[in-house]
Amino acid sequence: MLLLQDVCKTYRQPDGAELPILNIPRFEVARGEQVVLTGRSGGGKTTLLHIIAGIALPDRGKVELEGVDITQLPEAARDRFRAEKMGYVFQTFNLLPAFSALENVLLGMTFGGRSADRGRAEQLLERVGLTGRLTHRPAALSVGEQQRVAVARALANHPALLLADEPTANIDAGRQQQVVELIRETCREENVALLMVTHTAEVAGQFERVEALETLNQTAEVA
Amino acid sequence: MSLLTIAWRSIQQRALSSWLTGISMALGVALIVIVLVINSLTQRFFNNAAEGFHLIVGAKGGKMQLVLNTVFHMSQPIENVPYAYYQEFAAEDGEFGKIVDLAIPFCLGDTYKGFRVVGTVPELFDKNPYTWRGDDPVYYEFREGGRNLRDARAAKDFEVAAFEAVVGWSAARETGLEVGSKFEITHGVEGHTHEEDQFTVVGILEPTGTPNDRAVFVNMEGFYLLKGHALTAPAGEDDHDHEDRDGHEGHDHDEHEDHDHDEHADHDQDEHDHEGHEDHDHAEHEHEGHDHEDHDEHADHDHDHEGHDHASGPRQPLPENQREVTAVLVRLAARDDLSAELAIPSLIKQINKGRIAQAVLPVGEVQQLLNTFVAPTRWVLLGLTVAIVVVACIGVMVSIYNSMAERSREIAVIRSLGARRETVMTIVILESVMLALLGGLGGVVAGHFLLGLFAPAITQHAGVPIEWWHLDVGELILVPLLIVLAALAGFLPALTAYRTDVAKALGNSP
Repeated sequence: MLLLQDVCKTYRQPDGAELPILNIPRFEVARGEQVVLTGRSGGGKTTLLHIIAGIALPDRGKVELEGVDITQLPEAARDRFRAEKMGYVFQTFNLLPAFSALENVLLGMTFGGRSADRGRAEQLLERVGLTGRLTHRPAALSVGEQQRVAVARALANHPALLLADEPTANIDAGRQQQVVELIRETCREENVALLMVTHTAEVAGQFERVEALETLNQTAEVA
Repeated sequence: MSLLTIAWRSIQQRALSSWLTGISMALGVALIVIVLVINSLTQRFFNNAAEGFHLIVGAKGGKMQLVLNTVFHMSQPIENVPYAYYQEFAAEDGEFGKIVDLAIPFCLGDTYKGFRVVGTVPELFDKNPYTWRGDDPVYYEFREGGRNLRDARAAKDFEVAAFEAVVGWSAARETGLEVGSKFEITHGVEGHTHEEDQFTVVGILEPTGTPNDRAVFVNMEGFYLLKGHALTAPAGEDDHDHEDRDGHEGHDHDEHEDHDHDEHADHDQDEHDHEGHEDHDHAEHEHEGHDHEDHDEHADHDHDHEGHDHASGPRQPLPENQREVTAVLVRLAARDDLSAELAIPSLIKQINKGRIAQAVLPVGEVQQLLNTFVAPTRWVLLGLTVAIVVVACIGVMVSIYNSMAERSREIAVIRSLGARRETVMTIVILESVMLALLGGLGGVVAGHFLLGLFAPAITQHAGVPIEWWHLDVGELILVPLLIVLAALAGFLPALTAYRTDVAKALGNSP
């Protein structure tokens, strides 16, 4: 379902020197599969997620989702494709502060080409345990509740793939397990493939498939 | 979720900044609305004032002056024309009688507490519409309990009817005159008071939005009977013996130093001291063949026209050969073969060719007045107010632009959720437009509210009736103009949103 082939990304540093970040010959994720990606800080995990999401483009290589190479799509089509096929849970949640929990989820549906489905948004929030908090703005929600809203928003558009960038990084250890379990369960229920980046060994240990970026990445060859 | 909702939420997010920007916009728009409405009402006031009549006929002199003192009750009356000349318009067998539908005489020169007194006839109010609504004429109405002047000469109680008055609503309000009030008018603006005769208010006009709201109308018959308002009877006419009252009683010229009496061949100024003409005491005048102290010698003299011999029996109307009028307001009759409007140029030419009077087109003069005084002011004020709105729009731009740095992450999140660059750009422009629109609408409401608040003061000082609910067509253009300006103002911050590097804004770092 997700296939990366010969994906390379290099950053140019202020002094003009090139810094190779990614060189991934091949990486695949099957439909409904749940994969955790580990790696050192600054190793390019977030960059990889951005490339998969089409937020950033690789210098070369192919990123296919359901047979569509998103690197070949024009920017507007890529944005639309991302809205329709992918959900994204950020480390800092990135909920919009002026919108209520329900509106944040509805916002996730706005750009996907379908009309916003309030019923589904409410259902998702109910699924993540926020039935009574629909009209609350992020500032009125706890960190854990905010993360649950972010999960509901990411799943709002029936994506094929959910990208989660260290979703437990800002949550206390006691609640990390709940959040990971919530994400995994809802992805299973929706038959959504999951690619989660984490630093936490406890979180990584719950996944059947754990990929270390250092193993996938062959940046030394690029350099 | 619509883009409008997203834009509105963003405005809410920056509530303080949005409020300040909106208020700034509202103040600018309120100012424009006030200027537009006052300007529009002033123009309407001037234009309405000239409605109802085709021509104004008066003594030769300044055209604008004739219009100003007959239509607007401003400036000084020029001079008078003989009553017989007025009859050429009013009488069916007069020179112009056949083509005239209505001729209203105006006798000017006196005042009451600063308000112009107009000696006229009842037809001014019952046969002359003061304006038109579409094709329907709108006639004067009297406040409850009031009525029109009467045809004094046809009335059994001539002396009562002749001294009746009708007061414009504004003049009544400011002078305190009510139906039944009695008052004495002042000769000229600051001359003596006609203490010998009092007028009785029989009607207060409903507001008309014309200068007539600020005038006092008295029956012309009574006006003539006031001391100093009669001409001397021409020599050789037995029943009129005041041979040399030669027109100086024309009820105004002594107060008006700018009159060119030389233009009036029928006035014998040499025999009078106009400067010292403060009280019209006949003893101060040289009356050839007539001695007020020796009335016995003139048993057959009719003194009533002098208006000061109340003891000599019932007063009679002033003989017509001792009368003058300051102006005649003329409405032409539409004829089958030629509309009234088409007859105007030839009639003006015919009147102006004569030595007695001039005819002016009030609408034309008013238009010239507007073009001379009102139009340039309008452009200056509009220029200033448009500048204010432009500044307010720049304020909107600065406000949104300054917020872009802190909103880059928010924009990046929206982009990551699938919004295109053009979409976030549209959201920012919508924010700008909504702010301007809300500020603008608030400004329109505030402008009309302020107009309502200050309407009485404006009306009192400027004489122009202010209707706070009056909607100027410019206001309808204002809103689309604001939308365009706001969209332009929003373009720069929108471009910043467009250029937002999503990966970078989301905290992408290797």
